[in-house]
Amino acid sequence: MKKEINGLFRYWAILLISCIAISDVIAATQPRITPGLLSPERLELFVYEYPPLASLEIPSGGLYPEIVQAALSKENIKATITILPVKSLVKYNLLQDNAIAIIGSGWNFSDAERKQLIVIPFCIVSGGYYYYRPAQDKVLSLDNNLTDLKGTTFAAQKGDEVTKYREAGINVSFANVLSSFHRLKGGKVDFLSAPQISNDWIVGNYYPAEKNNFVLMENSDWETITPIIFNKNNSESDGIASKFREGLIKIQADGTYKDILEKYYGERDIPKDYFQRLTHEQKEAEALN
Amino acid sequence: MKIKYRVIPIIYLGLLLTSPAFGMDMPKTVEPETVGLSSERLKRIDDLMNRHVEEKKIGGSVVLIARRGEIAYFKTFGNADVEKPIQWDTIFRIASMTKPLVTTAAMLLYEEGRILLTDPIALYIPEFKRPRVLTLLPEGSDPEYKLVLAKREITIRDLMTHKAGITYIFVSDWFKDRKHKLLIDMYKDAGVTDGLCSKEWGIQGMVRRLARLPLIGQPGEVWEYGLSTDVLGYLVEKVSGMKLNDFIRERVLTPLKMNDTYFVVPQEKRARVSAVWESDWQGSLEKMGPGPTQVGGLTVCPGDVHQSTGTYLSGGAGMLSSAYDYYRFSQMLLNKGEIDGVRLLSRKTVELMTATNHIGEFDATFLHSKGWKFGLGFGIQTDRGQEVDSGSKGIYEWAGIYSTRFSVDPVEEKITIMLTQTEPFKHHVDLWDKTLVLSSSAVVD
Repeated sequence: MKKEINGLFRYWAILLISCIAISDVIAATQPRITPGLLSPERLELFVYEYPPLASLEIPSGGLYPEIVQAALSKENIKATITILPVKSLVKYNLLQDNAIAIIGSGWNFSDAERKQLIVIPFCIVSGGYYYYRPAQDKVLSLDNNLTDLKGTTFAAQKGDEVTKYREAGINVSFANVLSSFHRLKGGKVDFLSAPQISNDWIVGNYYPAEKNNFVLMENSDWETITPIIFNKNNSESDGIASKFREGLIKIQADGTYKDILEKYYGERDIPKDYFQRLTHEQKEAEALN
Repeated sequence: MKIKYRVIPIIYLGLLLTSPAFGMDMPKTVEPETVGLSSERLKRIDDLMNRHVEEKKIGGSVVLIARRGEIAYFKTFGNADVEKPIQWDTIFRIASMTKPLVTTAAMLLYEEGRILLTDPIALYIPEFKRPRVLTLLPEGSDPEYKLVLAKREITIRDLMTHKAGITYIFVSDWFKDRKHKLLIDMYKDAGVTDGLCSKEWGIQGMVRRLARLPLIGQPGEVWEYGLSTDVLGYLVEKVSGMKLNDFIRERVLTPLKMNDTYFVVPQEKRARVSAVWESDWQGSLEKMGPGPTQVGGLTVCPGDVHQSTGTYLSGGAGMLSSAYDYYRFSQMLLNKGEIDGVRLLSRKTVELMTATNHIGEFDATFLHSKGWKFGLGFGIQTDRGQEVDSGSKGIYEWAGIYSTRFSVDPVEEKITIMLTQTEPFKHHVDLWDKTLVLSSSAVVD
């Protein structure tokens, strides 16, 4: 009996060792490009690079990815937010590739496209027109309307709606945001439109000695509501959008959202009615979804 | 009067210290006949170069020809800058001649077993995971393209052989098709450059952005000269844990005693860097400004060499070197991996780099015509039946966009280097082809 057990043990031991050895050989000779490497991200959202709102230079991805990730995490949803340097590719991912969601504004969706989207505002951003003081003969200002700037050149990003500038007799030159600041400094364009925190971040990181030369044009300040846009054509979108809404409420309630804002706003004051207005915008958008 | 006499030794010392010869004499040359070359025939190169300088086609040049490990011809012609004659140790922007150096750096990691050429680059640069390929839709479609998931990941070998599907912006001068235009517009929108001008962000920032953009063709199914070696340079950083310039300095340049080769030329050597000349090849020759200057689809920044803060270490185009330094690198390759008793690469690795079938049925037609293949880092002539003037089957060479060239002829054990700084690039091709003909015609044994 003992002999039989020993024999059986030996048989299983040899089988086990053989399996391990064979699996090692297989592992060593298997194709190096594994399916795991090629497998898609489970939940991937896209955002256009615009530092520090979304930036490849910031480890966390920037303000937008931090808020969205925080809201999704509250609902135990793990997502990858991919920052793309070309705006049209973000839109492509949403409409052609049926990505679950994209982040940002200014997409010029058609009515038909809008119908397939769930828009949830999640951030309010204020900004204005900036110019580079040493490159201008006079102080640029926007006293009445855009025609005050007739003959100047405006730096826009591809995909931006620029009709109003052209109608006001303003030349439009396209480049990405970092190049636009570079061109502004070089005198190739006269002004650009940017969120205040973007101006501060870009100038602070790339032109720190020229902080006072990048000037906010008088009476040019604006405010925009940034949404996350879910795609109804993606079967998961309804569920994830609902969870995102819930998560967003939770991070507002527990102070996480405010902490993230303060991290990016620095010394600048966050408007007191920020969250009230955000809630109002969310309700208005919900009626359209 | 006394003061003047005191000043003389100081002036003398100053001249000595700033002299190009200070620190190193011109390398020894041998009588051409001792290595089977004809002095008489090599003089034809003098005539060719002098004529091009006199006709104001080029500002100046350095030509070096070596055979059997000895330099037989090493001459300078014309000016490096306005009223400043070119010297044997003038430093040139070698642009794409950076590629063989960076490929060599990567091959050192390969020899250490730290990478395999078959490794997907996404193993080291995750942003390149699951690349997508730009596929055109009929004209008038909105959008004009669709993005198709690549059939396989990009490998390190794809980067070295330009089969990754990554392109350059300046190739818009050659390729006018819709697909190139669409993709090149995306490169521009993303702030990706050809690596000749410094960027706000470093190589990591550039490669990360490039990784988010589609490919022009399926990896392995296209030969497309592009920013692949910039990506390879970043991969060297990721694998080695060192900045690319530090790794190359420590592992390639120092062992090969290439003391005048840099990504960022130190302040004390910048006076030795040649100006860049814009030539119409018809007698109009002007020194280019610091840039950025647009030359066709190409953006060049000759003045960037005077910046100390170069963070954009372009593995495809970022280095400067001298004729003698590049000779030492070429001789190492010709010697199958070693020079002066220092072994940098194994014979097997150099044989792999110079193998002629890395790109299969494709021809490396960007710089040459059909009959040229691409090894790991440079083009290789494989077919004498195609348009070709000189050299041997198996000759390998590459060029730099500021009109610099090198050629290694393993059959004749001969190296030919011609360095100028002339834009646009296209004009110098005739001069280089003739230089190669004269170099080959000087072989008399």
